[in-house]
Amino acid sequence: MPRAKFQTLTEQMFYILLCLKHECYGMDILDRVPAMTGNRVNVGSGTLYNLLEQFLEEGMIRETKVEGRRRSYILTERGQEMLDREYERICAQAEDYRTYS
Amino acid sequence: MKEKKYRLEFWCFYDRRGIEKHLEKMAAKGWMIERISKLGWVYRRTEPRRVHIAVAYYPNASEFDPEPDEAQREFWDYCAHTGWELVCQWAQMQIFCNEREDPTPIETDPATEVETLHRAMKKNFLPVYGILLLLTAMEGAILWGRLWKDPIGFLSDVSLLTSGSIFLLLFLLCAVEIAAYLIWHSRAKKAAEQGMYLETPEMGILERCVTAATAAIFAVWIFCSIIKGSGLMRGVSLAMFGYMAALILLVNGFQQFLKRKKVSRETNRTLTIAASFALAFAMMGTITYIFVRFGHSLFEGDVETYEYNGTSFRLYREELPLRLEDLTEGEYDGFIRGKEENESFLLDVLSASHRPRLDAENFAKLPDLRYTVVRVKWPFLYEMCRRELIAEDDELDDPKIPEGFKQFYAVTKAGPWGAEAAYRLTDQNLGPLNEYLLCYETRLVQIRLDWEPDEAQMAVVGEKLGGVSGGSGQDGSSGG
Repeated sequence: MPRAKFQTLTEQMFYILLCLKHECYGMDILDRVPAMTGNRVNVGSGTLYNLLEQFLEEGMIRETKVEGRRRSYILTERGQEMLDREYERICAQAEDYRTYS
Repeated sequence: MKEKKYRLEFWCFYDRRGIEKHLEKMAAKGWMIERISKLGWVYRRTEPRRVHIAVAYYPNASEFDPEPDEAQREFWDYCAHTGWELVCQWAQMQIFCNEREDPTPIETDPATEVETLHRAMKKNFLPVYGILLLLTAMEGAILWGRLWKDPIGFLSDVSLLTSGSIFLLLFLLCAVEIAAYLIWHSRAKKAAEQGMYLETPEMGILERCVTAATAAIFAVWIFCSIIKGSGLMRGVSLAMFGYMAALILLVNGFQQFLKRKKVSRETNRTLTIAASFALAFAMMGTITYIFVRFGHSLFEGDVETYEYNGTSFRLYREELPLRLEDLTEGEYDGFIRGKEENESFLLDVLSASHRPRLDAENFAKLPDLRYTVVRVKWPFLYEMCRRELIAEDDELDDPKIPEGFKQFYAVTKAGPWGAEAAYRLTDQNLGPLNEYLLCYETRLVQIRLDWEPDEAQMAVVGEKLGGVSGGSGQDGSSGG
């Protein structure tokens, strides 16, 4: 069955949203995510660009500033809810692992 | 040493992995892609080097854009940040190059990649191929419908065979490409949910085959129409060839001109579409006018004319395989000898007439000879041609003609004609007419005379048109 859009977040979506808890230039996310994850997660430039567009359309982030071609964003309430929900899902997953392993 | 190389490339718009591998190989050989145009892919000579090439899609781009907008430039900035420098773009397709050792790919999420690609496909590939599919289906149906209605006319006309085959090929190409993409897209979406990117199908072979087949068909058309064809046919074929080339160049040039003038995407698109229709109609109208008005004098040379009832008629003096002199005593130098020939690799059709001028004295009493010879080059077509020739004049099943006045072909003696079978047109009211259908081994002859031929005359017809002279094969010379 196809997964409904943003019902669950991929690892890359999760870290992009996490970066945007604080106002941040879109392009800076390309460096922040590998730094946050010790290079375990890398986000491609095309993937980031398209996901930011989709997050904007879905109201999960909003634009805060435009400087030339540099745009900065921040998480909205809706985006925060989705990030929290994903965190709870991951925690539940981890809890299940601890219980059954 | 040349610094640029032009190549015709056959890649599906969405076959990004195939294109990337190909361009990396070209760069390793010292040829870096510079731009992609409608006339081919242009490569620039560089030092041979190992580089990473990435093909990405930017759905909001259009080939009508005067220049990239800020959002598109921002996308390029993102790519440049990870070492991907733009090399060139072709509508929504963006080609990047990266010289770093192990760069982060532009696309790292299969679901986003498939979705972005699909948005680009909906802007370019799918509507273009969809429209082409509809047009080729409509044009193909009209052309191939003629095979049903008039198989002899269709199969002996190289231009109809050429355009019919090309429309069929294009229709199949579009149908297969659209189906292949839709199947791939459906499977790729499912694979992306599992975090995998499904490789695109290898469709380049299909495009190469269709292009090779189209080139072969064009070569046959050029050989038959331009090299072997009559003056008028050569003129028409050359005009059509020039028309197509000029239309493509002019429309493309006009679109590029508007881009250089920084006209907006919507205005450029509207004006280019309007110009392509206007140019197509204007050029076709001009060509039609020139051929109707001057075609005969331009391509048939000086042909004597005569006036009758205020109208000018051409006095043709063609070489005919069978003339009135071959059948009757008399001098027919002042008569018109007209003929029309159509040749293809399937059938040859010769329609000829030897008839008096309209202004001749005792016009009604002068002999008149008309015939059509169909030479069938492939035995499996013979029966279809025979049936068409019979059906053309057979009125027995025509409800519009009252019973008692219908015409039909009745079997008659074939021996005197040297034929394998012979039919005579018969009128229910007037009785047998002097119009015959004669079936030889590889030829069908339909002949109309305005007198009752005797057996000696029938034998001459068999020899001259049926090719059954003195025990020689039926394909022997039939020159008059």
